[in-house]
Amino acid sequence: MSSFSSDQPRVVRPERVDDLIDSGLMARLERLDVISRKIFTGRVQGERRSRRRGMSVEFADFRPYVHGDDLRFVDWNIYGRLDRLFMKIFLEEEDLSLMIAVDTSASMDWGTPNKFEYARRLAMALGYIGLVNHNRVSLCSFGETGGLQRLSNLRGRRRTREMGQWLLDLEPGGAGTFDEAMKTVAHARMGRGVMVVLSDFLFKEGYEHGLRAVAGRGFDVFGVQMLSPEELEPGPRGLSGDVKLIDLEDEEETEVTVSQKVLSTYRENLNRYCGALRDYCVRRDITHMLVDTSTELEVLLTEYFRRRGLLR
Amino acid sequence: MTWLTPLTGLIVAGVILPPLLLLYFLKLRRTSRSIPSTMLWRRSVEDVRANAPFQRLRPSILLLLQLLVLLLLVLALAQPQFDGSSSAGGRTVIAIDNSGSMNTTDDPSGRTRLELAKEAAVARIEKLHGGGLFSGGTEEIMVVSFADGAEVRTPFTDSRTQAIAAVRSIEPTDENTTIGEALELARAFTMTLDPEESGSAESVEEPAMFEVFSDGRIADLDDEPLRGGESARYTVLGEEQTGNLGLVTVAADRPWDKPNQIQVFAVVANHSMEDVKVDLELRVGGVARALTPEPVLVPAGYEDPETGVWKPGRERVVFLPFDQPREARIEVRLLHEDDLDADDFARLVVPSPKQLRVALVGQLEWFMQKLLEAQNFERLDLLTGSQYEAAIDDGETWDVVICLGYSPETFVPGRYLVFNSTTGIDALEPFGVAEKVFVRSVQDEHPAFRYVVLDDLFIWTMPKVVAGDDATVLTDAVEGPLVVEIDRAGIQVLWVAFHPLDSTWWRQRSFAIFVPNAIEYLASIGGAVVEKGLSPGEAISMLVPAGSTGGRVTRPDESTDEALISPDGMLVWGPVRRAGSYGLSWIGPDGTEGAAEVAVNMMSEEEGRVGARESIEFSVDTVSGRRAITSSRNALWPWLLGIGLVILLFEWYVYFRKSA
Repeated sequence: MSSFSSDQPRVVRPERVDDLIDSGLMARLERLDVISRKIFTGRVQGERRSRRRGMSVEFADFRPYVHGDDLRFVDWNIYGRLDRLFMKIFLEEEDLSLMIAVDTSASMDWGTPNKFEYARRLAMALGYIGLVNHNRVSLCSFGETGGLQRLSNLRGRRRTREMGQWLLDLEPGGAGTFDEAMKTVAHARMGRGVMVVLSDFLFKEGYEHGLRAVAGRGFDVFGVQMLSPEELEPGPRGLSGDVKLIDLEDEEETEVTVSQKVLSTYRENLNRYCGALRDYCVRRDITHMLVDTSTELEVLLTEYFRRRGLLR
Repeated sequence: MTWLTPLTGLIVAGVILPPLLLLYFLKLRRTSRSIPSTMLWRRSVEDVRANAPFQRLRPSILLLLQLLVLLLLVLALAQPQFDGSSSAGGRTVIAIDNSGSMNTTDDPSGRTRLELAKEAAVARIEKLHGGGLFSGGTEEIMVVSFADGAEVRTPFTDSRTQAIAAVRSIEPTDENTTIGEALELARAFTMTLDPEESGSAESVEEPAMFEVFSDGRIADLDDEPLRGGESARYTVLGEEQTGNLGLVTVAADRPWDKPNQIQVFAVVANHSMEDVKVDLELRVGGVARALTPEPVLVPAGYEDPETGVWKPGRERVVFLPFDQPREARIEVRLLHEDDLDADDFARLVVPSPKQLRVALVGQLEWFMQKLLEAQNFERLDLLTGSQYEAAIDDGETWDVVICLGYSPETFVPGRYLVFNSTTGIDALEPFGVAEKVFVRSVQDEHPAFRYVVLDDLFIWTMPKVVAGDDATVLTDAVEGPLVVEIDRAGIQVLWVAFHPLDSTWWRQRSFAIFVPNAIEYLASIGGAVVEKGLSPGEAISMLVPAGSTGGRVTRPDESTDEALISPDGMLVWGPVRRAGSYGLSWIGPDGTEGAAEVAVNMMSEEEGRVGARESIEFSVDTVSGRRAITSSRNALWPWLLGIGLVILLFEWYVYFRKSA
């Protein structure tokens, strides 16, 4: 049944963690890992490279010695040949911070498949990938209901159930508070690293301030824009006739006589909006990914996200 | 063009059109749909509408189409029609010919004239009544069908439905055409007796208009003048030039010297203006037995230049005798396609050869004895009057009894040839004696007078009689009847006024032909010799064992009906309406079942002439025919409704194209 029909389709809400992610998918996700195009300094020694040169075996660069440098890292072989002091710089392996931000505004609780449920399952899968790879996983949700909620600094596979339960407790509803939430996250200094924003990015007040706040704080931001098939192609999905469209968040009404021309204009508007979001992301070094919620989650993770550089 | 119900159309227009326009002035009532965000719909796609309940009427193809559909609907409800002459509000007699010639299919549609006549009559009734769905009429209509007789299908009625149902109930027959009875019936319903003037039939109603639907081949038109105040209208069915080839005579006979053989004769009549060659097929018991060795040339018909009477071309066909010792169902068929099928075949039932039992009673003259002894009878009894009466008392029966100079006081049911005696015959009233008598006229088509020439007959003396109503004079003289046929309640009598010895007849060859003819004819009436075919319109009448019950008739279409059997054993049913074979069955007094078959053939030269007449003459009144118009009014409203539906479909298409 389409979301445009008079009777709204009943959404099946997950009740257990197993409903968010099944064991088969978990097994297949263990081969994946989160990567970042940027190398960030972590808090503890982890399993990835950092720009903080350190004690690992991987050699990174040389630089001239300055006063106060640790003499243990002077390259004495070069000093013998050139009679000048150079410091050996190594890449130190550190843990990665993965922040997953889930939009819980009312606009997400729509579509077939439901966008909010899709976002919860996706957050669960990404978080699980982060946990099994010993990354520091944090989650936050933003929406009018409950404001900004956070679950910080999860590490290790054994925190999976805690993360799942937190996701299960999320309630969709109300208007989006994207800008405020992103500024809060950026100022909270929850650690730098990869940030994945799961949202439809349909914010009437705009998404620019929010994205700018997190992009400028050293996050490698991935904006995953999730749209349902009804939003991508409303005509074939049953929207027709003379209708009064009511906004789920602010209950604003718009009267439309659906015709081929109107649908064509809508598609142009959608393409223009998504194109503007993508351009803005490119300018801010943010990766924008448009996801159709009818896409299989496993396909999304193993193919699309790997291709776009979020997973490997 | 007229409007049958303009007020209805105007009312509907007044009720429907303003709400439709109001709906378009009002804002659309829209279905609410929740969506994640209206921001993408808000830009340039939402309808610009004011908050007011009314809006400016914008050009809309949907509104235009809906207005067009409503306009057509309103026009249809007003029921426009062409040729809208109104009814006179009087009385009309619809008289429809359902005789044999009306089964001709010379219309290009392949339908019979009767079907077209019924359709035209229905159209006429609808015209007289106004023809609308919501309109009524004051016209009173009576429906009569006529062929050999007439039948009132409905008396005068102002119900259109009843009149149309009456027309549709008329079934085809193969009978001849007479209109006299139909006119009499119609007049009986039109004229009403004025109680103030007892003893005189005075019309207190306006005489009706006779609307005749026929092909004009009506036998008794010359005898039926229109009366004062009566008027007629004639609708012609069929084409004037339509020709037809038909059998007009078929006879089967067993030669007296070879009773195990059957000889079949046929006469074919050609009612067209051209010579026609045709093959004839003889079938016995449903199996082809013989075919004419080469096509028979039937000459063209012509109109006698002196009398103006139409003479069809005729040709006789004689099939070679064939052995058939048992009963035989003979069928002669023309292998020829024309527009009238009923006269292209004829059937006869020839019973098994049977030798007759004959008694000569009264004066046992030697010449009569010699003549009868020469016949091949099973038994010939020579009895005096008293011996005959004693034998009757003992229950003795004969196929034919010949009474010479004698007749019994009381006739028992049977067949008699009586010479020179009126005793016991109520139908004849003697009043004197005539002398020196010559024959004036002879019905030489009667089977008893086949090949009998009475030109040289001279009678010295004979009784003069007056024949009653149930007696048919076959031969007469100036002085009175010479040979009379009487048929009354199972008693058939051929009565000859004079004694052969009182004339020159006994020594003439015609006498030796007449007596066997008469015996054969009388025997055939009871089914003893050959069951002759009947004509449509006649009643089946057959002698079965006295005391029989449970008489039934099976029609050619296999439907059955009960037949009456009188106590003296006369099975009667009819009249028969269609040609074909009719099966008879009964249960005899001893419980045994009896069965027989009767063939009914349409062999009429009048009905065979199927060319329609463009005008008919009621005695001196000529009524010009007009062509049948199946629908006198061309109702337009069904077309308007149809166009409306097409537009509605187009509107759907436009709507879905806009909304898809």
